[in-house]
Amino acid sequence: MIQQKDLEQISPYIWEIPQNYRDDMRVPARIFASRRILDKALTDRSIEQLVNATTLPGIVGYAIAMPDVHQGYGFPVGGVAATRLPDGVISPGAIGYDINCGVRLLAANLDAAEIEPWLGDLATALYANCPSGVGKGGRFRLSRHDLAQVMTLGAGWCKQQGLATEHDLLHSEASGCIAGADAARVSSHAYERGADQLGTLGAGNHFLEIDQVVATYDEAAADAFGLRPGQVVVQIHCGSRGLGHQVCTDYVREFQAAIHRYKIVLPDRELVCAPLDSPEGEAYFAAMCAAANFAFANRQTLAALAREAFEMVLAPKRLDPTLRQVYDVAHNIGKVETHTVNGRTMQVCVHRKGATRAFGPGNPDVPPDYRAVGQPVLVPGSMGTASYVLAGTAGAMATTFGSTCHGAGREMSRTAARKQVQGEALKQQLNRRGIRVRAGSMRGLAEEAPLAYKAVEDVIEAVEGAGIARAVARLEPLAVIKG
Amino acid sequence: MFADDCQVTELEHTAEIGLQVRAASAPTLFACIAQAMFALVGLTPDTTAAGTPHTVSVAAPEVESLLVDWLSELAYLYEVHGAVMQVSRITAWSPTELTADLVGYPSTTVPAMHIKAVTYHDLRVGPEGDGWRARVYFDI
Repeated sequence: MIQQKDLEQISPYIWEIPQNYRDDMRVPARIFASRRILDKALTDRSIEQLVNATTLPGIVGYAIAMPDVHQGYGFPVGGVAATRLPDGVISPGAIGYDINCGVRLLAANLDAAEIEPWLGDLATALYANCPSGVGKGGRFRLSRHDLAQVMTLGAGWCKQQGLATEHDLLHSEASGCIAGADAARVSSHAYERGADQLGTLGAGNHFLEIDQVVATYDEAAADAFGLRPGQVVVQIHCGSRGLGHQVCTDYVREFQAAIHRYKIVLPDRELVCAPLDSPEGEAYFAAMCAAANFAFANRQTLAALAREAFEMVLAPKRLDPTLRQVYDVAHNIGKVETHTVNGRTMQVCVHRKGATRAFGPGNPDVPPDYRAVGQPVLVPGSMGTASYVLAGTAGAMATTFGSTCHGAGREMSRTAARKQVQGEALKQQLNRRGIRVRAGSMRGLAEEAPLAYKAVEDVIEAVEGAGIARAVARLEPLAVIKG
Repeated sequence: MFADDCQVTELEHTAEIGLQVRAASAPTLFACIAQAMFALVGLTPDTTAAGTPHTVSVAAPEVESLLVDWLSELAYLYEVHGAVMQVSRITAWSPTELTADLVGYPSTTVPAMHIKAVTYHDLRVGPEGDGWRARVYFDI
């Protein structure tokens, strides 16, 4: 078990486990956290999993944990690892089963007070229009050909169908479509799982929320992102659904044999990997990009369905139903990017699992209207608590491969949460606070109770303290839609 | 038919959830853990409904991957067909191959969780004492 004495404090919010801590480490491990968060992380296997990640062949710089880190499987959630091209490895487990799980933020032209009389109707319309829950299919059932097109074009496919605007695409990570996707690398099982899942939320921690902006902290960035106190916004949190889960399952299984072919020794089977330039690595990268594009299209379709719900409820009341896209960003993904490592500029594959890209001001991959202030970073809190909009920083580019946190981070198991919280009681408690809840499963609601998560404020304090993002706006929920 | 023949324990994990199952034999263990997986996420088969018969065959290089493949196939069948699979009979079992006759039923309950995947995290399958034991975690 790793202990506090094994860590060196680099700065108030950065801690390091040196490379000589264990013989199989290829680089040091760094944890971006306050002392309080670090102490908690040391009580589970998060940091052990981070040390395991340092053994990935071709890893450069550090294996990095964000302040919302918690133990995952193989690789910690809230982890970042960059491997060099072309001979470093790609690891499906370091990206996660829900490929391109991410968050989209839409902004209304209305204040919370204006929609308050219709909030219950809006929640009901969103719940009806945006399918949620286990196994719930959506409005669209796609042929194999159409699914291949979705996986190739991402949110661009939605634009062809009238479900997206050019503004939406320009205000998404990678414009809602990652290059390199090959739908032929995706299995039949994945096609079948994804056939009716476009435009569906799924279950677990995925949600759709109506929020209001309650505070802004960086006026220049808030202005650039079009956010102001009192304003209504909508968050959509979901990913690539069963299609992406199957892609990861297929390649974790295939790589069990690949590691023997490439003589790769790992401390955890869930970390299996293959060289990026190997046939296996290339196939997974192409399939992962295809699943990521499906996720971009999924959130885009959900945005179109949310717009439809706003139109249905608000237009008859002569209220403006417009929902303008602020940004869409992934937090489970592998991306080929250029970074400077130990003074050398190189191409790397950045694995972000429960970590968000956070490119700083001036980066050409940030939309032109945001470029002066940095990329928007969307950090949902736990259900019923605050969320934050952050901006990427030069510090993130220099220290974390342009990455920051992705949420509050769990700190209590689902089993323990269920023992302490009743779903129906939680729903009533949120209702008393004026938060409308529409959920399919009360047990699922209990497992996502706020007490199961860290306080998002502690996570934001740590990322700001470490200089890997800066706070722009705080959002508080008005209505929550869950599976 | 297998529920009385195995001991099932839910395993805690910060973000995910797991199962530990003990049974008298390996085939019984595989049947039990399939039923336990559906129960874990809150699915209850409506055995009064007309079931749909299925046969599943999986093959893997070793017994741990065999368990992952077996449970992954059942999770896939639920997601695609909405069918909670009940094992009628394990017709063939070895550490590298399994064939089973199943009947798929609709669920009478709304599931609380979605099994995204069956993981290799802390995966264990093997003989223990005079029976067999497995431990498996699911990505939720």
